[in-house]
Amino acid sequence: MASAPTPRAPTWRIREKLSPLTGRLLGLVLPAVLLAVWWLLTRDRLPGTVESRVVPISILPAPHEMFSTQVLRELWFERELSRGALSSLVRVAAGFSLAALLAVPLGVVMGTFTRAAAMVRPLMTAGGYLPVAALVPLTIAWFGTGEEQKVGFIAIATFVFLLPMVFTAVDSVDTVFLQTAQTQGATRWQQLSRVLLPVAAPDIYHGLRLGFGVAWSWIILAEVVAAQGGLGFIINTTQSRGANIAHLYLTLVVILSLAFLLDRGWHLGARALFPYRSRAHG
Amino acid sequence: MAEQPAVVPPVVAARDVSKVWDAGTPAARPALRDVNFRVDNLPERGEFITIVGPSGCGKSTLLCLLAGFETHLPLTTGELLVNGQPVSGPGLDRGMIFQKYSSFPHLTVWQNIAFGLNLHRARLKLSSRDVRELAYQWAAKVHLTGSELLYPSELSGGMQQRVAIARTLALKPRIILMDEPFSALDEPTRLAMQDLLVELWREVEATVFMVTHSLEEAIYLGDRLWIFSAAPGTIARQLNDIPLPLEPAAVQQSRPEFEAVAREVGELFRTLTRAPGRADG
Repeated sequence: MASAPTPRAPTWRIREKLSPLTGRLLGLVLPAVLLAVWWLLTRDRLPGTVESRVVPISILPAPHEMFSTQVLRELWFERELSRGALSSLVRVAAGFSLAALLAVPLGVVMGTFTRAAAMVRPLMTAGGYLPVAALVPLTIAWFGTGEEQKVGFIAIATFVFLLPMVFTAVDSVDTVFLQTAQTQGATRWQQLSRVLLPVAAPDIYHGLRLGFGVAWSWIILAEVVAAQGGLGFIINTTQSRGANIAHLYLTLVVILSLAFLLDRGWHLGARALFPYRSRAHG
Repeated sequence: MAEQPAVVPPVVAARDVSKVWDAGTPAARPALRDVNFRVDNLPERGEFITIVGPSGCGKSTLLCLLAGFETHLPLTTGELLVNGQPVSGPGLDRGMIFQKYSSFPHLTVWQNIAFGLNLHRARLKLSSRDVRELAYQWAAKVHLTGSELLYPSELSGGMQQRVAIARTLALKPRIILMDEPFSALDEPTRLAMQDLLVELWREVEATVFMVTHSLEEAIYLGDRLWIFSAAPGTIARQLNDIPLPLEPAAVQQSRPEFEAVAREVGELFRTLTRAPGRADG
């Protein structure tokens, strides 16, 4: 068609700029492939013969069996899915808030005052290697198996994650901002409140966003081991009672969907709080 | 005390200033040695001093010492006086403009310009409306009218440095320290910024110390030009008889007379800053 032999641009270009529509469509490719593979693996190869499937129904039910109204109804009413999700969410929110309430001020103080950083840093570094799973029996020993244990567990696991994030956010504020403020006559307090905090705020927020994800993934562990109610509890009882494995898959889908929605919330929050960031890259 | 005669001290005076990093340890690195100078308090006008030298010669260290940054003080030896007082920390009488873009990312252009004014609003007896008005006036003076509501991430490098200049000048410092402010800018922008400085100069009457690595810039803007020797740096030569900025930067700097001076200064610069080991080369 083209008269001049112009070299064709490759389809996979490095750091290519995609249109929003293309980006969204490409995001659907992998789920569609997975769905197709799922369907293929759980299809009755001989019509009406469940035994003829590649993957047995006890391991992976077919899509239409998973999302059947009967299974959904069971999960919703008998297993109290919504109540479970809510109690998981409340535990995560409580533990996360507690962790943030401690980690943000401490991290800010450490990022501001070298002396504070020098005092806390060795412990903070060690804390990064804390085997969080081991906290489950420990927190049970401390708090029993009630709500305090769940919240306490989430709080500790999230705190050791958040502290270095907040510290680094404040610590990496460029010296030139502080020097500018100093030559403009800013007091120590003003350097903290008008330079370090606002300049680090987007990075602190980003740390909180990641920390919330971490808390969300740990709560299932706490609930699987010792819980009354919660999404982890539903998973655990499905496994032990040998009930329909579709419940387990669906609970995982619910956990992922909730996490995705909550992360969208954090994303929107960032857009509202730090408009100068999105404007820059928009 | 009261019988002290009213002698006006020099704006800045340095006596045998030296700075050695990690002095007294095996890692000691000398940065400055025996820096001596004096800038007198001329009524109604400040001097523009430009500083050139090989990289790492301590010229930026000298600016940071003048600014009074905790990270650079104290001096290893000697005395550094501003208006007769030893420098012991940053002060409002000294403003500084950096090579790195320093506009606060969370503030708009006018809010950045207003940063210092806001810190001292009560003492300056300004309402928040006055501050905003002043900031807009300064934005106009540095040719940023219409950009007052933009954030730094939306600005070009030259615009960022205009913000920094306006923010510094808004506080009316007597001394302005500039550490390679235009190094990161392309040539046309750099020339435009030089014109802007000349234009603002008639108004601000401050003493300026400007470090630059462009000899043309140093010759064009400076009343005095200091050539620093290699580290540990010191003022190897002071040039007083250099052209004044009478025409726009782009015009004047392309004149044969100016180019001749630049060649001469360049030759002198190479002689003075040549590494001792290669002196015969």
